Amino acid sequence: MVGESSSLQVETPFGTVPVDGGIFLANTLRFARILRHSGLDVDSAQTATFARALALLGFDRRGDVRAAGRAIFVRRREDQRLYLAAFDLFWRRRGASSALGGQLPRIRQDERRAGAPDTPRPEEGDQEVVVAVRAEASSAMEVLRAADFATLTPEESRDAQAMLDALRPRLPMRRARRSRVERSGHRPATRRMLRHALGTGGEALDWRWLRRSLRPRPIVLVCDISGSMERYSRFMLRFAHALQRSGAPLEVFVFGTRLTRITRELRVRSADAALRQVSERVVDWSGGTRIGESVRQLNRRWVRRAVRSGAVVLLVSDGWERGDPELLAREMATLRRSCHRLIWIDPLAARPGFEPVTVGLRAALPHVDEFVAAASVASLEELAGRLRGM
Amino acid sequence: MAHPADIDALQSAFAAQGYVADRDLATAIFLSLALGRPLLLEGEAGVGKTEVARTLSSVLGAQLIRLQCYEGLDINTAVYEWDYPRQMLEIRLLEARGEARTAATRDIFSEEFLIRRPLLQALESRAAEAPVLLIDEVDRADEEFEAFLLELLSDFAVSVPEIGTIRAERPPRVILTSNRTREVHDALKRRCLYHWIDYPNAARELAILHSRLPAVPDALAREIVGFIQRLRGADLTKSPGVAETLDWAAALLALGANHLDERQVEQTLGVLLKYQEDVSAMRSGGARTILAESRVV
Repeated sequence: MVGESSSLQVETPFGTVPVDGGIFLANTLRFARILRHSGLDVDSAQTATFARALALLGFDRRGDVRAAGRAIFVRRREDQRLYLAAFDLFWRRRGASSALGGQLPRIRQDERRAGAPDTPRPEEGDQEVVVAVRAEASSAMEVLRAADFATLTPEESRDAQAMLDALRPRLPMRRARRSRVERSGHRPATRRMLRHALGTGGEALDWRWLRRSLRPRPIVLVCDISGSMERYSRFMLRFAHALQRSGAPLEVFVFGTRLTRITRELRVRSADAALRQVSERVVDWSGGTRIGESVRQLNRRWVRRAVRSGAVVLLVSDGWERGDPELLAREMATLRRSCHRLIWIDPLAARPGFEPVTVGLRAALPHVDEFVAAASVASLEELAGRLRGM
Repeated sequence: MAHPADIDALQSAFAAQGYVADRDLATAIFLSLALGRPLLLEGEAGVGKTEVARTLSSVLGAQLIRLQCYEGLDINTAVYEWDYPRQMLEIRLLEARGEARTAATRDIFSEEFLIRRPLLQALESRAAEAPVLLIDEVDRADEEFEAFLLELLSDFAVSVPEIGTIRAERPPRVILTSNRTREVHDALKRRCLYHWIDYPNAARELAILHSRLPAVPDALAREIVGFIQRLRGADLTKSPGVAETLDWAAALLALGANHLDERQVEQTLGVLLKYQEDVSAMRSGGARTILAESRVV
């Protein structure tokens, strides 16, 4: 039995440690493979590091092995859950006792039957573990991803905000007026080539071309921060921050009873700092809502300066209008004429049985290009992915 | 001091320095030492990420070299810079002596005129024990700088064009921290071991409090920890970290409190909560509820 497994020397700063090579490596590799199939981004360098760590720590304490693997295989907090589930399932299946050392003989027997000691044999059980781990970890993530922001616990909402921070939107693009000089393109860049040709006696040796470049469209996000939107506006501003970090020319306004421009506050890099500055500046968090009046202010004061004709305007509100719906309809029509696309985002529309019956919505909807229900990380991700086509 | 021989030794060495590390964190630190890999610590502000590096340096008896990252941090402030004013003076001097022509540029670009910033200091250290290099809040630095760090952490060498490559004799022990204002690049993470430091549970927080502020009576310490543990469950913009717990305990101690009462809690909320909304939410009844709940337990 012992003769079958080759002895392996593992180098550590404390000297060279002999390890029961075949079984040990086979199990390490199998565990790494399970992690990989479960959706963790595991590479061979990590697996090797894990093997070294195991050689160092021994198998006496299951908790230490678990912690070591966590330090090595996990690279972001969200993956912890998946790793821990995989670890527990994998080592539970190998025997009920908590010490790994006690399980080694059993594994050895398995392997004797299989023949070659250090080729990990495909195990029918592994697939089971992968499926279980995937289900366990991804369901937690997917549930959170799809959950309505209003239903999250503080802990969950921190995770959801982290997901929004990690968002990489596909920005809407438009053709820039100027062309750029490149090594290839549509037209020769004659001016630049002539200028450079002066140095070579009028001979244009280095050909350059003009290429029309694309630039991100300006995006304007106008967010309702009145009482009925309280549970959503925080996430929407996180979303705005993600848009901003992606490099889009972005203008952000919030309104309750009046419109406030918060573009500058949001320029600070960290999302938390930006939100803090915003809340310091905006006094009417959770007051009443006058959407029509706010859109009028946007049209009057900001359209020519900040919105510009090429912009995609995202208006986030549930349409609970306290003011005059006529005014809202009129101002929405004006706004639509002065931008590229006007999108209305309603978090409440994601609820089952939703009907656009609020006064504000009925007045505004005829004048928007698209009506989007967005109340979760998943829906905002979907929106961010679709922006390019807008 | 030599390396702690195992996780237990490391844990107790840390405890002796007043840092109560849980077993998982101790394992991560131990492996980082044993395998010679940088350790990336993430977690909310005030959970003791920076303190790990500080404690590690005193446990090992090594020098602590700290690089605070910020947006716009560049090689000049992180690695090295030429002392331009001194170089200019040197040139003037050479001119005055009429040696400017004979003096080659290498005279001016010599180590004498090199200003060593933290990263270069860490590489050049000749101390018996390799220094602990703390790269604090790496998420604040730009991505270009991260790319540079990646290079540095794989070779532990930098090249100064005018001088040549400077390589560490003994690679420094590297601890990186991140508050996660953005995701640190995957390639950088790949070089590191990773540990997410959570808020401590009640037992550990109590141990931390006792270890750091032995003057706080046990009954008060328990009440403080109970209150804070509940407070972290409330809907706050920023939950208090361990640093805030310690500050608050010190504040209550200074006020001569023997147990938590509502008035004192509300008076000292500013030590715990750093956002006006949070403070006002707690003043308008939140604190009373939490206090009542934490008493029940």
